Amino acid sequence: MSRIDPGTAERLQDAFTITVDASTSARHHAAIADAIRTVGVPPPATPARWRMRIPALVAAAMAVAPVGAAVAAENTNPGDLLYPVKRIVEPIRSIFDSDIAATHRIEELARIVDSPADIDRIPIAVSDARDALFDLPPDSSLRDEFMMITDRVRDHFGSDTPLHDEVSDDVRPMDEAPQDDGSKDVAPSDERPDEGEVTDTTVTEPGEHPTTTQVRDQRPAPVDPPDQETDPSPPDSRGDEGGDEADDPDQARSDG
Amino acid sequence: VVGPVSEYPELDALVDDIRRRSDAAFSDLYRLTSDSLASFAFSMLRDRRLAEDAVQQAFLELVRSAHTIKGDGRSIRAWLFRSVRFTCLDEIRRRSRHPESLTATTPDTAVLPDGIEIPEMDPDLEDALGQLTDRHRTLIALRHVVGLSGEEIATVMEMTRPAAYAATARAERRLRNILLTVESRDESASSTTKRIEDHR
Repeated sequence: MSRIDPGTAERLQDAFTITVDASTSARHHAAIADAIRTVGVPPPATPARWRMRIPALVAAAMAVAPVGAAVAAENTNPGDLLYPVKRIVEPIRSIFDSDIAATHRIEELARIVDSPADIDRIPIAVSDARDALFDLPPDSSLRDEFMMITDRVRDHFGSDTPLHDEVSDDVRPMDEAPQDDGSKDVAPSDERPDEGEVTDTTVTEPGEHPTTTQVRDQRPAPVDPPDQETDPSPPDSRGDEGGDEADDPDQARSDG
Repeated sequence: VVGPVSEYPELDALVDDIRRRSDAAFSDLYRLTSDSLASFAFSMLRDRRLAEDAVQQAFLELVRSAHTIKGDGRSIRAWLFRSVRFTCLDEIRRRSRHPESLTATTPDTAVLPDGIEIPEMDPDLEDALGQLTDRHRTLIALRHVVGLSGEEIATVMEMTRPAAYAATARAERRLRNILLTVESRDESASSTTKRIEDHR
């Protein structure tokens, strides 16, 4: 909204509007043409073309970067910078290769075993590999590889290494796995500690480094034969559970 | 009233050729903008010859900087007005430093070819404009002589659009108030003169 009335605006235009006359215009045109000849025609506007290419370059970089990161992460071990990328990509690759996670874990375990500096990582690597092998078919060759690696570790560190307990039956190839004859869950007394036995082993929380400490073995207790001849637990130890039940008010009411 | 012109399709079509310093494109650009630029320069300098020189200077600078010009036709037009403004401000500063040169460049003494008319200035308007600052005079000229939009004025004056609107509004209020004062003074003077004559 103009604050000047139309009459004043018209007076301003009348006062200042001029037209460049023909002779002046011709003189100006000649000067401009001389200037153009002097300065010359600029080269093709490559900066503008580059500006047009920038979005395409950014898109290409965005497409290539994840692939490059995935490739670079292929040979990483747990704790490496790109290792999370490897784990993120695995579910996608497993669409085309269902064994990819197990293959990676076995490869990682092999590399860790070969690296003297990574001895502390062996138990968790074994555990991860065992978990990855869990869903594989019993005749998978990866199970053989796993057994070979763990045998190497056992040979190198001795049978008293905590790794010795990490190898369980569920990773053994089908032909080596114990038959389901009712005694499957009964471990020899010299290989499996009894329930509640305190032993040196490695406990590792997810995302933490393994630490060796004394913990109670959390594996399921072996199913004892019915005669209970070898049951070392005193009768009153089971009575504790009975005592717990007796402490239950509902149970007490039903008993009463 | 000349309203703000928002689109310049003819200028938009010339932009690429201007950047390539095409002779024909510069001729078309001159045809489309030279009168507005000259009028703006004339409103600042009150000298037709210097105003036309300022227009030529702006085009010569555009030839040198053509490959760096960004934007559309509106941007090139604003660039030319800004260049003319700087040339005029330089001339105004030169005049203030050398007042003796003012006499030689006033329209009354300038030698003009036959047939060229210099617009006659309304004395009241000239008086009122003389009381405005150079900045307010420039804003009034850009808005009411050339008819630039607020956005274009902001570009030429190198300020934000709200600031350009506010400054233009202040300049318009100032000019209106001065004109009212000048015209009331003229009426008072004429009535006094009439009374004296009547008294005689």
